[in-house]
Amino acid sequence: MFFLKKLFTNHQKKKPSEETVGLYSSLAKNLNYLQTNLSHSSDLKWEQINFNNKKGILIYLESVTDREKIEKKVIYPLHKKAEGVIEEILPIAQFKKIAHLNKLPLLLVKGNCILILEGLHEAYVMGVMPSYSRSISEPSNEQVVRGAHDGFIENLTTNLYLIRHRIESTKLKVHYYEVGEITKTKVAVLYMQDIVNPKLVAEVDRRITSISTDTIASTGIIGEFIETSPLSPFPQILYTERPDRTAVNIMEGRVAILTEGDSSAMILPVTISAFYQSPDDYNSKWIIGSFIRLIRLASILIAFQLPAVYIAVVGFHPEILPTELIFTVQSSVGKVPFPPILEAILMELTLEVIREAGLRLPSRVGQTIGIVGGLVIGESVVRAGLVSYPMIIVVSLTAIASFVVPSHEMSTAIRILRFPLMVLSALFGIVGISVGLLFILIHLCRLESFGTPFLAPFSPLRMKDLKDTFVRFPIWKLNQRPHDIHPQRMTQEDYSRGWDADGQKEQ
Amino acid sequence: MQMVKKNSSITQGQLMFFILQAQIGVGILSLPHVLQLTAKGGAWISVLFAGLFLQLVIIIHWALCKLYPSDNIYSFLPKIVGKYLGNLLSLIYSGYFLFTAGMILVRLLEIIHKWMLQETPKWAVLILILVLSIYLVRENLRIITRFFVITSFIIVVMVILSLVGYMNVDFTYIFPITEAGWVNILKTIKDATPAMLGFEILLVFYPMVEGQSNGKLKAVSVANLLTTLFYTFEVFTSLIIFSPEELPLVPEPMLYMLKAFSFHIVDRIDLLFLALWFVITFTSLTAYLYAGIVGLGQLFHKGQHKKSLLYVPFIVFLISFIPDDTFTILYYERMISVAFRILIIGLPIFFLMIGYVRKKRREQTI
Amino acid sequence: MKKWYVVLIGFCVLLFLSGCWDQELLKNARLLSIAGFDKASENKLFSTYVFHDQPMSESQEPKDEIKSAIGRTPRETRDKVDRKLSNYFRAYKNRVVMIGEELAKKDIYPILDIFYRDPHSSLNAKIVVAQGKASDLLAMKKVGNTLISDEIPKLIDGSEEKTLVTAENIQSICPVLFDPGEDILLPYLTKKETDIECAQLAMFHNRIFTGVLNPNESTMFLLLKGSPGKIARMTREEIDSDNSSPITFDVEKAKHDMQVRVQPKGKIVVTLHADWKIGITEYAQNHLNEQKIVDRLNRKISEDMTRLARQTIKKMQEAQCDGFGIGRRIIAFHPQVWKKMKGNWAYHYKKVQFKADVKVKIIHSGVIN
Repeated sequence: MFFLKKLFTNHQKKKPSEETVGLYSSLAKNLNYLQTNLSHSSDLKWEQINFNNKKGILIYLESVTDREKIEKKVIYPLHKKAEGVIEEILPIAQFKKIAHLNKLPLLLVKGNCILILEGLHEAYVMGVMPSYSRSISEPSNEQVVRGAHDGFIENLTTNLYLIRHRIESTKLKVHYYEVGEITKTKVAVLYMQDIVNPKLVAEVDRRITSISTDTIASTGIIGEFIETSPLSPFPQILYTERPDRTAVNIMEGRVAILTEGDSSAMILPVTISAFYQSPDDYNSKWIIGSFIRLIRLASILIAFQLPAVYIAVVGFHPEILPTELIFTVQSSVGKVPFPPILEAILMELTLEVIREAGLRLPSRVGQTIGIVGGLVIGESVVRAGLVSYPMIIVVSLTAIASFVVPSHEMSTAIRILRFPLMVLSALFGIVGISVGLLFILIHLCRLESFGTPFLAPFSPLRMKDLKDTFVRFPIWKLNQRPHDIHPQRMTQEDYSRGWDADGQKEQ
Repeated sequence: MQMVKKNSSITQGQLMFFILQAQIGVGILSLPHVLQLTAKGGAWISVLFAGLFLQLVIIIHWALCKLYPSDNIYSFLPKIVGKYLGNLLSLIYSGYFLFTAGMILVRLLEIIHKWMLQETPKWAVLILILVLSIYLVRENLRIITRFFVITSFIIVVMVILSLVGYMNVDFTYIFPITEAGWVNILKTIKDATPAMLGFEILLVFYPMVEGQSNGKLKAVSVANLLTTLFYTFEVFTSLIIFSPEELPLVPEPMLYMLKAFSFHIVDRIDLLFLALWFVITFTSLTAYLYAGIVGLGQLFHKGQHKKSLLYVPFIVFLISFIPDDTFTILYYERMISVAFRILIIGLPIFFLMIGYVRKKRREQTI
Repeated sequence: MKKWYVVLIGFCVLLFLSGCWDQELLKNARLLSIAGFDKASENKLFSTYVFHDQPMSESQEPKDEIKSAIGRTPRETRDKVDRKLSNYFRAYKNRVVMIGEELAKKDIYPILDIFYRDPHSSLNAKIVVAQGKASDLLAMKKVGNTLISDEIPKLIDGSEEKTLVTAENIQSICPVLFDPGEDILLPYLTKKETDIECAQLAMFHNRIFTGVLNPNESTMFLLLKGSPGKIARMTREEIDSDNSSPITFDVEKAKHDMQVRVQPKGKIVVTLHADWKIGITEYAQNHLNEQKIVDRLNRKISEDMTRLARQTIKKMQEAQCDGFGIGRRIIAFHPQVWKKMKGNWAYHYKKVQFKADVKVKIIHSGVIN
């Protein structure tokens, strides 16, 4: 046991705090210090400069700075004036004076250039970051038919702009954190100051500040650090690349977390219904939106139960099939040499392999994989008598249904859970499926996302919140925010259709 | 002893669902059969009377709990009858709950064996269900209640499925209603009550419910009312589907009537009904199991009920594994019925009187 | 603690993997379609089982396999047939139970017991009585080009919709079988050269076959009972008219009303009143737009139908078949009377006085007059 513990536990070492080092009077010494602390990196450049008749040195990392900016805004003005007060000469907004040498390496890495003049005890730090970023485009995995077509990109400032642009309110608060001992990744927590539940903000703060890791590579990693039940297959945080979705959720009183260098936002706390909803539901009329939402729900059920039910029917309770159907199924099942469970696992795994193969390949080759995998394997596996036609139908239906789930995380969870259900069904038939579903249901009842029950508003039951779950009621009926996150203000809409004299009575 | 942990209390609405789920359970399948044997066409009236009778018992329990609003039965018994006797009685109550859970399991296994899994060994199904219930019972009351609330919709589905039976009914089967005579109809109450047990769990969970005591009584009464109505409906349905001479031959009429119906995509709706019934019975099972281990936890593990799960599953396994024929099961049922009369009806009245006298005396001394 | 549970669950999974105990593979099943029972010598039973085999490949035709055995009980014959059969005998998709005439003259419950007792059996199988021997009917194998396993169930379905026979299955007759106050009527299959006809009803008294109603009487019974199918059609001669010509009509709406009264002396009087709205589907004499002709037809058909109703009831009384459930009404509403008659209900039933009349009104006559 001890050995196992040693293998799996994290040893957390406290880092010794750095001592402060003042600037040396010798330029060479300063330069030497910086070179050593930046690991003699080859992209560290420096230039000699004379100003106020003093020797100076301008240091920068060429990879994270804009050479043109340095030329225009630093070197040229300094050459032209040759003397004066530096703060007044340089047309740069981000301008700092730093007295500690040990702080400089980090600033260099962040895209600043540093001017050190001989004999002075302060270094001038100027921000000359370049602005490279891709253009704002629609996220390919969360497309909508109608509505906003912009998406987050890898630049935090742009992403914040996209949200601020949607919520032009003074109450929208952005709180920055620096996470990652070495990478110092900038993380922004966003919420509406006057709506959000303060306890939630405190909890998010507590969890983010407790992260102690070297690297933060993506939003997902933060998610895994702060999730309440990381062992659960179900996602308890909604990841989205859509600014409109993020903004709407912030307005409901949820918290959004954005990370520098990642194009997805985390929304929390969320409940299960968030994972089968899409912004599309609100863009179309409410009847259509509700209908599509019900279809998605049905797909979720199909995606994770159909193979198990099929196994139970063919392997345990064939009497469930009506007379006309049973002969069709029997004639196809008859020559398959395997028990249904093997058949099912074989096909489901094949499917997952095809899916994964298609995902990694360029789109043209991906199509070939689709044809080879779907058509050729599907057809010949039946011809060869290894798998039956109904099984192929079941597996393809499952696959299609699992693509309907709007959230990728949820879709994966469902795909994984299918397998234990299949095994249970092969052992105990319908009783096995019941037990399996109950296991999942109990698990869902236990799950909490930042103190919010995952199954809200179904359980704990809150009738008012059911308006926006299975179906979507008309917007003018959704007068209150969801209760599960305990927002400070419940009312979000009030009497918008007051102009309608007949409608007034209804309200 | 302060039992009420802030994060494990439930609301009164949740209490209603909890009691409802605990009450509706294993008995539903065979109730019409059992009642019709003695009450004939008036069996459904017996259910109504049984509901009324249980309402009286509920009021007694409630009054008892009200005397000690922040204690459950395991902590107020020592206060009423003294430490040693009180703890002994607590142990007995705890045992009663576990035994009832075991009994539910026995019936559950019997039906599953009869209708679905003829070949599967008993221990396999037993372990499966026990593992499932441990997974739920480990949690606190709030999470268990959440599960109960969400599975309550199944009762509605069961009612809808039973409506299918109305395609082929004969209302004259219940006439003459008083064929068996009022005496027999009243006597049948004693056969109906075992199926409607579950409200006595209030004794354990009373302090964990938020709000005023009147509201709690209301919640339990509503649960009892819904149970009574649901059972009356199911009994009535069976009575008009099966002729009076046929019903004594069919021990599980609710399942049997669905067996013949066929829709275009599924035949054999009884299997679906059975799967739903499994969930409903599972909730009763866990309710009793939880009530039992809360007691053990309080007696032996300083309130940590999880710790008793190290040995309780084995006890329950044994209780439900031993009976292998109908007669042992009947013997078990008789034991439960006796325990019910003593522990659930008799003793609470006694405790109520003592508690009341003590309270009066305490008030006088002040 | 957590690890302990993981170990426990892992252990269970390992145990469970040892077997799928109740596995019941569809591919190993031989599906029974029709079970026929006949009387054999020495109180034995002659069972004929028709299995429907679907071919594995699409090019082959489906086939029926017919096996038979003699035994004392249905279960015994089933086991005997199973010995002669590849794979397993499976009855959960049984569609028809056919009982030979001779066998039906004894209590039919022992034959059906196996279907009621088995949790897997299909309770929605039709139950019919065959004229002569069930095995003779089943031995036809094919009717025209249709396999017998397909033909007979669909034939019965069709006749039910045409209001020719009762729509009963094993489950629906069960309450009636056990009820002393009501009797069942089952479809009666007759062999017509190379075809099978299903248009008559076999009457039962206390689970014993006692007689047959002809097609018109069967339809009349179903209409009086208030359980018509989708179409109820009859062709009658337009009796005692100058130029009698056959007339065919559909009963579109049938209201029925039955009242059971017990007179002080213990005499039971049943008033059966039927009110039909009919549509003429064939009448070569035409002129159905004239009030006089329609009125005359209304009257004539009403008289004819009343006669038919009385004839049907008389036949049923002779066969002691209480298909209307008169006894049921007496049990329910006159329990005291029932107590006296319980022992000898068949006798009292024969003496029940029926007052039946049918009133007919033509409401349409197709697209021409």
